[in-house]
Amino acid sequence: MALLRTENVDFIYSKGTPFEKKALSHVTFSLEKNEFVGIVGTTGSGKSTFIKLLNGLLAPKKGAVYFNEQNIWSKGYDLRALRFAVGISFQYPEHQIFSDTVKEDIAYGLKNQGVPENLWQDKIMEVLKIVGLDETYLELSPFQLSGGEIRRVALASIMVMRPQVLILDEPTAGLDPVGRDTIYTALKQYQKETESTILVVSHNMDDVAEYADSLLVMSAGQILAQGTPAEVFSKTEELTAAGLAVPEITQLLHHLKLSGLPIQDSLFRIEDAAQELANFLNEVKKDE
Amino acid sequence: MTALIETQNLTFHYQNTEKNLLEAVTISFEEGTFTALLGSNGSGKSTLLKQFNGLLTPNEGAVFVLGNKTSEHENWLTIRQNVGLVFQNPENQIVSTIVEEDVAFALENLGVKRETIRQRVNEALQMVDMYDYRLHPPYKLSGGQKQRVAIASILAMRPRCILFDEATSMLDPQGRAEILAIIRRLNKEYGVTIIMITHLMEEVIDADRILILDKGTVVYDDSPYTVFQHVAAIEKLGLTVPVVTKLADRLKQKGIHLSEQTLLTKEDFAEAIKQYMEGHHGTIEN
Repeated sequence: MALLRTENVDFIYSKGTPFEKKALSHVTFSLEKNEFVGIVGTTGSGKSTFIKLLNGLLAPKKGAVYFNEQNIWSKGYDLRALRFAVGISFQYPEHQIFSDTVKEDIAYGLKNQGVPENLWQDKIMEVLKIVGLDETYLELSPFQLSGGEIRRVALASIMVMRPQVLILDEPTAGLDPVGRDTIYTALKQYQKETESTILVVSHNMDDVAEYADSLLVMSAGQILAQGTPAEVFSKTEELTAAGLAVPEITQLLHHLKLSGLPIQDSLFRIEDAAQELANFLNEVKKDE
Repeated sequence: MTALIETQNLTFHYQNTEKNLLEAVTISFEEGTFTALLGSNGSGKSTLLKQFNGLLTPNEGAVFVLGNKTSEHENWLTIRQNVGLVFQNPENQIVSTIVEEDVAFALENLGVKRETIRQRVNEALQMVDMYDYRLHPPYKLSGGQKQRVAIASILAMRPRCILFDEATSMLDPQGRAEILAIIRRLNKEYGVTIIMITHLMEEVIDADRILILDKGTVVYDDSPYTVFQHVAAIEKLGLTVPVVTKLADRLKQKGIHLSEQTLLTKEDFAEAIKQYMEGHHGTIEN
């Protein structure tokens, strides 16, 4: 049974006006419990619209969205509860931070959820640890923090509510490689510990390829490809034509293959690529 | 010859902290060069960049732009006209409701003559391929297009140097490629000096100079081919090296030494493989 799924959803902005714009058409997608899925696509491909449909921030013009097999737009459905169950962290975390201290910012969601105040401290410390910050941050103003730290605070603010599905829009834009690894490692650990489901929207194929179980590629409001990273990256040409970059390592292997090297080119991890090339080059040596 | 930008023993900390974010940095930039400034989050690179146009000024030491000391108020106009800064998020840099008005904004503020403004705005928009959009409202543009408008606004001031603070990190691959192509063109065709902060290695290999900052000091300052020889040391700083360089390094660890030279581009790598195979009497069968 899918935890969260969409069936043939369409979405149109400003319908019936001269500015009408079709953002999604016929998108059918399902998310299983404890899955880690990456959504990739260019700007304007419909990714951001799509995630807003998943927790009922937008209503589809056609088709349906189901959470635990219940249509979220059926009469009497508790959308507020859905938004606690499906949490979204948006692209510019600095826009969703507004409190005087990091602690208040993280506690805000708990307050809204009606969690008793005596439980806050433990819950806050737990998520702070997951995102790699220590307690000295609690009393700091969020505006004193670096870009990477603000992202972690924003992430902690959503995680602390323990959504069953955690949706993140570009969680690592502007972070250095270590910062990216910290965030993704934290997410993986959180996913494992809490058996939650994670959906990450990213431009960065390298990141999602490394951490996601499966990928959803969107282009012009439709699904272009879906599957494991290796399945998706075997379609270098289609992805490139849609304005998407496959991971750099895949690009390099593809380039080598086109120049005549009989190697597998859908690999996306550096160690795998090194092994593939070493095997091939060692064969060449042996033939001497 | 005076350097375009020069720092002497630049030391800096924010008022409410004692920790130095920059520690005795002495560097200079010649006109027409293209530098990539790298460092992990918190290494001080954005702080350093903001010193180059006087947005921040040193606590100790000095920074000079075309010989003008940045700590002196009366130099600010000259400095800001000559050294423009493009930030990460294009949304925060756009002020007007029509593209060309946005580009004209700073010139109008300076009281430049109307005809001159018209001419400079058109020229700047053409340089970033946005002339056809001059009458569009900015909110309808893509991220890459907005960032191009932000660059045009700076170009209208005819600066000699543009600083980019992760100007492509919020963009998708297409938007990123657009901006990078423009940055290269500004440097190669118009001779604009470029100093660019980025975490993206594919943007770095075009630079003629790599500066790496760690804990507020310069730890590497050389050509990409020289700097990226130090794969392990750079990774230790929390940074990465170009994918091609990394792959060659991993192969070396497996006993396959492709080349004495540092490899940076796909083409470098393909060529090195070809030579390696020829060296071992292998041939590529098509």
